[in-house]
Formats: sequence, structure tokens, C-alpha cells
Amino acid sequence: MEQREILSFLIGCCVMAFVVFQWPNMRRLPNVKLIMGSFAALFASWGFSVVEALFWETGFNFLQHLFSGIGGIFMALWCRAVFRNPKAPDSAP
Amino acid sequence: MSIESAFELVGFCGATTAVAYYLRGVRHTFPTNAGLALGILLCVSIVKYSINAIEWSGLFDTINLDYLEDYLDNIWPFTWFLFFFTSMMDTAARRLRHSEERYRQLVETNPDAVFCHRAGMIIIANPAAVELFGASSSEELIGRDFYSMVHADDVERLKSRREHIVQTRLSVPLTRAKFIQIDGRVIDVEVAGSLVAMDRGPMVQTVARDITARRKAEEALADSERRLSDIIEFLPDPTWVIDLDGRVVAWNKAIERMTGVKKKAILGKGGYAHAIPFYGEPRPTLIDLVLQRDRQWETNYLSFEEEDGLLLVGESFHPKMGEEGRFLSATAAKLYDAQGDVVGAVESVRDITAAKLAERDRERLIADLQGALAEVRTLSGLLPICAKCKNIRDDRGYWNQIESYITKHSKAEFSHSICPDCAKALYPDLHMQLK
Repeated sequence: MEQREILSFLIGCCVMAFVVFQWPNMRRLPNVKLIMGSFAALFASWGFSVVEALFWETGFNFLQHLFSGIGGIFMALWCRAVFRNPKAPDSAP
Repeated sequence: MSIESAFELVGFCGATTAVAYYLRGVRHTFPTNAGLALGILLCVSIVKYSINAIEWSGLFDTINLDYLEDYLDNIWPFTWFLFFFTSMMDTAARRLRHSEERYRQLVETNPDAVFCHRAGMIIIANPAAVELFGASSSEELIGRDFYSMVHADDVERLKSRREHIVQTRLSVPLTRAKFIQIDGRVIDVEVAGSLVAMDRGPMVQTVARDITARRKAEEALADSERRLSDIIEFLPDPTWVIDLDGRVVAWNKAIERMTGVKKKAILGKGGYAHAIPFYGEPRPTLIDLVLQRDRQWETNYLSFEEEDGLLLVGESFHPKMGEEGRFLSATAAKLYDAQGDVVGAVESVRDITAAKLAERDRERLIADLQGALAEVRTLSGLLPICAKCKNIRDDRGYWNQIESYITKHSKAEFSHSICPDCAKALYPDLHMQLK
């Protein structure tokens, strides 16, 4: 288990806690499901990178990279949804 | 290429696509902090995905990216936090700006004078406020000390209201005050205050309405009411007034004297309380019937009539008033306001007991006299009488003895005797013996 993976997961946990506690405000973000999907996928990826050192390394490693890729896809979808019509002021973050 | 590398490559493509869309719309969003934070997040994501893809592909094993990977692993979640935080703040600020714009639009179209001040300095003033203060434009008001335009008598009171608003964040109710216009003229206003959140901090919003004309009208109305009250108060006839709810609103001195009920005890009372001194129980009286006609109660009056469609006039006997009861004559009419709407009713009563008793005595006397007259038969006129035998001719032409005629036409009766002269002439012997 690498220290950097634990640290990034812990920071990710703090960010997730922030999102949960600020959900009434965060939910006003445009297309919030897509951006939250991206963050959740990356958060899961960071979690798997920690867990893989404990057991079932091959499987969790696979999942880590799978979710990392999913996070990238959701990020692209969110940017497409938000910036596709950039002149609409309320669609911007 | 491993499957892990393929996933990372997919992530890299996604991040790159995201950057492409971001760059397309960034000029519209870059001025905001969230736009900048998103740019950093996307850049970090691309670098992170690319390092992971390179690392897991095994193609560039000679390149040592561990130092950069360590650094990015820690910075990546933090860039997410930065993005979320700035987005939240920007969204809140934008909502506040939109709210402020809507507020300004509302204020501009408000017919009442609305102005906002922070620490006493006017920040916003709508056209109605400009008109209220007699200014030429809102610029003439903005930047002025609001309390310099408040009459000295009201400055401290309005300042304490402002402190209350700021401390409690609650609005304060309407109150009256005097403002000083730009030209120095003093006007009467009604003001209310509340706190409004603005982009640059909260301000106190004051809504004011010029009530100078209304106050003069109220004073004139109060004078009029006072005069009317004085007139009613000193009317010689017992008089009282009720409103539409049946509550007594005026009760003059004369009715105090008649009923023994003081004004303080009856004013404001409803539920036919004004009937109790007259009838001993709450029930509709003429003043109530003028507002709402009721045939059943109207038949209880000795006499009841409507005059000119405006007045109700009735006479009634009140056995519970005084020792032997009283006869009262009452007149009631509706009261109207300036718009012609009914606002209440007034009733005036007059004690007619003495007149009624006198009338009753007179009628009794007349009846007695008529009875007596019926019994008295008198002789009058020209009687045709025989010059010799003294018989009298009646209306049918028959000759009657004078005794029977007089007996028939009067209450006189005859007791027959003989006078000395007739006795001497008719019975001389008997006359001589008696002599």
C-alpha cells in the first residue's frame, strides 16, 4: 500500500463529505448528476487503489482503472452538456 | 497494452474531450472562479490520465514519472474540492445578483417610495422616492444621509428602528413620521422597514408613503365627527346611534337621564344591549328595524309607519319603565357615509306618557259627554199650539195634549193638581167652603 494512495483517498473522503453536507447548494450545479457521477467514479477508483493492497489485488486493480476511465467519460459528458450552448449564462458552472 | 492502460486511455480521451468543450465555452465562464477551478481540474485530470496510461502501457519504462504521479495523486482530489467550492460560491453569488436585479426591477415599478440605505447613506432610490423627496433624479438622493431628511422629532425613533432591524433581521411595522423634502417642506409619511440582502452586504429598505393629504382628511373627518357627536350629545331628545354590527357608538345625555344608563356602560356594546333599558331584555328596537325590517317585531308597536322611505316612526308602551310604564314615540333613520353606503342608524325617542294619558282622559270625557248627551232630550224650535185648548201639533200633524207632548219629548213628567183661580171658577162652592 502506497502512502500517496491513502492520502489521495483521505482527501477524496473530505471532498465527498463536503459535497454531502453542502448538497442543498451543490445540487444547483448544472447537470449535477453527470459531474457527481464523474467524481463518484474517481472516488471509487481511489478507494479501490487503497483496498487492492489488502486483498484481491488483481480484481480491485481492474476496478480502479475501470472506474478511473468511467470518471473521464462522465467528465466529458458533463462538459459537453454544460458548454454545448455556452451563451446560455445559467448553464455555466 | 494492458487493459488498465486502455481504461486510463479512455479516461484521457474523456478528459481531453472535456477540455475541448471547456475551451469552446470558457470565454463565457472564465471570469468566474469556478471556470478557473474547472480549468485546473481538467488540466490535472489530463496529466494524471496520461501518466497512468503511459505507466500501465509499459511502453516508456525508461521514463520515471513517480515524482509527478505522487504529486498529482494528492493534488487531484484537492482540485475537485476547489472546483466544487468555487462553483458553490459562484452559484450563490449569481443567484444573489439575479435576486438583486429582480429586486431592483420590483423597486423601480413600486408606486410607493422605496429606498435602501446602509449606515444611513442612501444606496437605492426608486422614482416614487425621488418624487416623495421632491428631488430631480435618483442621483440627487443617492449618497445622501437619509436621517438628514428626517424631521428632528423623529430621527432618534427611526434610528432605533433601524438598529432593531439590523440586530433582529426582522421587519418593523408601519409608523408615522415627518420627512423633509429637498426644498425644506415637511411632509407626513407612513414608513416601514426591513432588511434586504445585497451582493455587497445587507441594507435597510424603507418604504414610505406620503400621507399629508390623508392626514388632513382624517383631521377634517375627526372634526366633523366631533361636531356631530356634540350635536347628538346635547340634543334635548334621548338619542343614540349604532353601527352596522349593532354596537352602540353614541348615547347622549338625554337618554342617560331617561334610562339611568351611563354612556360609559353602554358604548361599544352590541347584541341589542340598547333595548334592555326600554324592554328589560335584549330585542330588536326601531333602530334595528330600520337596518333590517322584521314584520314580527313591527306589529308589537302601538303604531308603526314608514315616512318618505327614510324614517321609521313608531309608538310603543314600556311597562317596565317608571312606576306605571311609559309611552314613547320613536323615530329612527339610517346613517350614510360620503359614498352613500349605510354605516349605521340613529334613533331618537320622546316620552309621550303625559300626552297619552291626557288623550286618554279626554277621550274618556268625550265618551261620558256623548253618553250623557244621548240621555238628554230637549225641546227646541217653534211649537204649533192651539190658542184655545193648548194642544200641540206634532211633526206628523196630530194634535197632542200638551202634557203628553212634553212628556214624550223631554224627561219632564206631570203631576196634576188645580190652581186656586181655576178652583174658584170651576168649583165656587167648594172654594167658598175651603176658604
